[in-house]
Amino acid sequence: MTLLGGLLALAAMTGGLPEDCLLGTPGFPVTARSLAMGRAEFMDPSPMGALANPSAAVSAGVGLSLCASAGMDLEMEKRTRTVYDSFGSSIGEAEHSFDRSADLFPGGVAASLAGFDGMPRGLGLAAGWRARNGFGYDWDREVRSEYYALLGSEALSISGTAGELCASASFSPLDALSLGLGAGWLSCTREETWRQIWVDESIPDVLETQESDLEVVTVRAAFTARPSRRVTASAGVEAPLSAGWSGDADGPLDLPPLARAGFLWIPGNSLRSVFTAEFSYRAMSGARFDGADMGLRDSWSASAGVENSLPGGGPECRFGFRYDRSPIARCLDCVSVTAGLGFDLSGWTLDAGGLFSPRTWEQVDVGSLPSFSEGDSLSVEETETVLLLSLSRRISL
Amino acid sequence: MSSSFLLAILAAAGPFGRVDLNTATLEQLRALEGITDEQADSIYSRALSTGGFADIYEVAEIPGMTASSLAWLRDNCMVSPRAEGSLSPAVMDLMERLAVEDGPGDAAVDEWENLLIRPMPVNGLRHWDLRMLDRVSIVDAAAVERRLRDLGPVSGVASLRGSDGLSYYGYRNLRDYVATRELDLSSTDFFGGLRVTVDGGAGRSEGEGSLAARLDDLGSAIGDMESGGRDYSGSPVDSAALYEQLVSERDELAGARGVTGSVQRLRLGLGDRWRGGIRLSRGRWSTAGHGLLSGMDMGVISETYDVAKAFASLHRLGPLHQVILGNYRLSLNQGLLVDNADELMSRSLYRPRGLHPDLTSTRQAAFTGAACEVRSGPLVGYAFVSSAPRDAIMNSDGTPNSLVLSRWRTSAMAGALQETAAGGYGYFDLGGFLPCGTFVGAGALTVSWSDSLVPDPEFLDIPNDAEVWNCPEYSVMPQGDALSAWSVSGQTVLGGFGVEGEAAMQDNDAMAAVGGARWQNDWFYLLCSIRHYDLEYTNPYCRGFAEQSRFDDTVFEKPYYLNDPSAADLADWPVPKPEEGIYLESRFQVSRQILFPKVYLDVWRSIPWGFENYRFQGELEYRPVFPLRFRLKYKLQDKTKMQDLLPTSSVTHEATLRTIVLPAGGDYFEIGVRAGLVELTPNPLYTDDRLMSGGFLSARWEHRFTPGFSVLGGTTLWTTDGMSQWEFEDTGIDFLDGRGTKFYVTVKEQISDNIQIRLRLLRKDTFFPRNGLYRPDPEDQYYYEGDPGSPVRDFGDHAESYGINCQLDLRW
Repeated sequence: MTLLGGLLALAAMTGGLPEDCLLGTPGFPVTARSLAMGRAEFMDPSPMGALANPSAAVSAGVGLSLCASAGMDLEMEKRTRTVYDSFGSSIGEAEHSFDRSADLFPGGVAASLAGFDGMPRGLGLAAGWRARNGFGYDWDREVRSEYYALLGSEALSISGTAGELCASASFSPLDALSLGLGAGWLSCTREETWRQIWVDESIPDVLETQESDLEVVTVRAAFTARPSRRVTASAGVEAPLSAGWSGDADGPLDLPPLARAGFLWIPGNSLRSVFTAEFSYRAMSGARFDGADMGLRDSWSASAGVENSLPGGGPECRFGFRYDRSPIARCLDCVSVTAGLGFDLSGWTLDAGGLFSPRTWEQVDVGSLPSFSEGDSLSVEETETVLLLSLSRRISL
Repeated sequence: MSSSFLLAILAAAGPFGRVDLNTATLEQLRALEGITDEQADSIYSRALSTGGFADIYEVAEIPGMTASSLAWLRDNCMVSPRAEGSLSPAVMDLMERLAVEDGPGDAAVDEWENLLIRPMPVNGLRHWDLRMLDRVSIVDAAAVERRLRDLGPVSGVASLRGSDGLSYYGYRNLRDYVATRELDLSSTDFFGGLRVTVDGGAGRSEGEGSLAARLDDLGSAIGDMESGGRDYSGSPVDSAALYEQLVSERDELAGARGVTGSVQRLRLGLGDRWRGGIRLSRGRWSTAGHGLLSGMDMGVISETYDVAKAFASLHRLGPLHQVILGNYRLSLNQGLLVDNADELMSRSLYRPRGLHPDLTSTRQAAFTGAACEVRSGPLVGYAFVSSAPRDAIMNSDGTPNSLVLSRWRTSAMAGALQETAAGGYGYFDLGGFLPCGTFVGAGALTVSWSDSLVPDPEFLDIPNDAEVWNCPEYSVMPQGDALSAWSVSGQTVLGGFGVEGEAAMQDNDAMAAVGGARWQNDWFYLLCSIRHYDLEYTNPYCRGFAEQSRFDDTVFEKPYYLNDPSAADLADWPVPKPEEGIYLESRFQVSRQILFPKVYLDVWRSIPWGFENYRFQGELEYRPVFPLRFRLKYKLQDKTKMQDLLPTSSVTHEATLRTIVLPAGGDYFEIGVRAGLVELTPNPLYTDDRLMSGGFLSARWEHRFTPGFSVLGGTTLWTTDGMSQWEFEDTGIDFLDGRGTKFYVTVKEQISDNIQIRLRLLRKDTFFPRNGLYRPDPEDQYYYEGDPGSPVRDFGDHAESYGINCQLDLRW
């Protein structure tokens, strides 16, 4: 759950829109490698990982390291209604609507610097821009009479990307310990268009647009310890200093800090495996908008991933798992599987990663969401597939 | 080079003063004169990521390494041997196979996994110990004890292979669970295992018995009552109370939709003396909790642990073989007196006999309290006491109607009664002067409940509906607040021939008996078993051999005929149906190429109705060359059941052909096809729907990249016309309805000797065509809930479901 999650939940309560399009894609992945290992960005040893975990800036690589990524988010959503016979027994689920959207998004670009002449020993720096949330969502349907005559159409379109400009610095007073501090400025503009067009000209068409802006300043602190040469552990906290929302409602936003911890372990085997696990927690029940309780619940996530070097000099093969507890409702909790490959291309590293996450929920189970059609039984079956490519290179100085 | 650095190099030096490439730090490697810094970095990285070099010549595989560098390293450095693992991939494979075997329940698999990690000391084995293993017969168990008694200890497990009477099949099934280690009661070796499993995904749960079906049944009953479709006047049912109960159950179960399941199971051990463990889990789609620690409320019911069990046990204290406090599992003899499993394994004579700690997913029949096993000379005894909550179907006047094993457990049923169970069993081992493996035993069980059971069908039967209540199995269910039973048992083994049996009597004079004989050698066995269960033998802990569970083919398979559809959970009541029969089973290795893995014939008679039934299944395997096997299985069953006023019979034919290919490198490929047909007795109820059919085509392939890392993929296409299909996937059984496709991918990796991870993704698409829905009569139309005005025409119901499962095992 990112900073935006709580804010957008508020919009969900007031906007009368499905949860998914408001939350967007929470927490865009930043590198394909971290995505493939359960979206474990906090323990990602790359310049992009150092933006989330400032204590990792020194371990992102000796010299100048560069990393850029971009990807696509594919969402499919099927809405069904239960069909009953005259005895009140259900005979099945009829498809009510099917929507699909595919949006390209920038993952981010980052650079880190460590261990070159002139820099104090043990100092690492990282800076860059990364995407945090995406709001690509399109929904449309035709409205027909009971005789299948076309009455009109309605459509919803939402767009916008939340990006964060951030920098990190870390220092290692000991070989086995790194400390890091970072800061970021997150901004977002989200546009929403709602349209209803009727064949009958006596019924007025509807065209509503809404634009909202968000700005958040965030600071981060973290430490990384290496208790043995095979184990690296890290923990940190991300605290929003000031957050403001402007749009249909203006006001300050009080969001609780995000605590994260993870470890990386090199077991030492013929596959040259690397195992990563992460946990994050945010007490979203304490979130406030303009002083009012947002009615959210505490959210957390846990992930684990493995990287293997395939025998015979093949590519690096990664897979992972993730669980996210939604701040909105239990039925929106989701599990994800991830996988990916990494290729070494004469000095450049090309990584590809993917995440798949299915979710099914009943509209009535999300209390803060009004239905599209009041009183209609509506089940939502959705899947999200994220594909990401990353290109990185390390330059010795 | 500083002095401290020199000291560090010395610390990394091996016994001959050479630097150990497997343990040296990066700085130490960079300090070596014969290699460059880049080469040192590469050596360090390779040693770190692979766990070390097995041989110094492996260094040559590193890019950038020169012949002169290698020669220098060979003369000046060394590599230490890598530590051997505690668990081999072969053991991991076996654990996985156990987890998917058809037959044993959770408790057995738990126990076998423990034994794979810490096997039983072979030289102290008695036949009692071996009967807990799968597919180890009484003849095999007695043969091992006889071998040890007559010829003394063995120096290796393989020495058991030639024991008189021990079949190769039996030897193969026990060899992984025993070892030539000594029992060390003073040992303080600390070991254990942690398993974390997350079972999630999304989609609709379809089919009979699914949560969606239960919610649908409840909704239909509620709607029926709201529309005045049921007339309770003159009935003992308080319709207002029943209505409230139904609404409450529906609302509670609606909250269980889409719940992600999770299991955290921790087992600990200290030497051979102490064991302990705890399990906290929440099953998918479940609600109310159960277990020793079920009071641990996590805030809302959907986040309460579904099962919360724990135990501590002490072993080998004088004659006290073991004592367990907490949750335990007890299974004795033929399971007629006491076996507290949650399920009845049809047609299975194998059970993990004895007393075991219980961290399994079972809940309704779980024992919570204390139990002990005593061994003194020829005497073996068990004593136990348990006090645990039990679920019950409730009458609308608030009294408990019948005990039930809730599938979809709601507060309306969960923990409705407190049950106290106590008993004991004693054996006298006659192996000292009669053939080894001979014993006689006797024991008793008493069960009491905190409230009297009132199994009145009028509280369950919808008044004035089409169904005529005709269920003799229900009419004799336990009444009152107590029940007791006792049993006698015995067995003997003569060479390759063994006989065993148990007879039990309940306090209402009803009896149950199971007896069997077995003759075996290396290439053949023949097993014959007879059984009899009186209608009134209702002991809730009877799990004896049977073809059907008590409420198969009764009104409880039809929730829409019950006042409260949740009472349909009684269909899962794991007590044998009142029946008597004879069962013959054989395995015959004709030659190296031809094998009959299992052939059986069961002929049984339903006691309340007198219907006679039979079931035959034969399996033939042909192996023309080692990597190729063909398996043909054919099943024929003729079964009769009471359908309202008329008995109806069904004849089932089912044929399955599987082709298994084992290419090199540990890969596994299988393709299978099944076709089935059910023919029903002509009956006006079925009109022209008298034939049902179904079948599927499946394939799966496992590719092993290394012994510790493999990827498994499988797919199935099926079509059914009234005859649902089932198949075994890599992790369990799956039921197939309608027509559809599915595929799954499983990644398995043994990351280290102590950590294993398994990740699985499944997608299943099921299609249910819904045609001919047009109804001219407005009162008879199909409709959408909440949108009754919209017309419903033909549609195709496409149910997509995804299963995501991740399991992490940590052992030390």
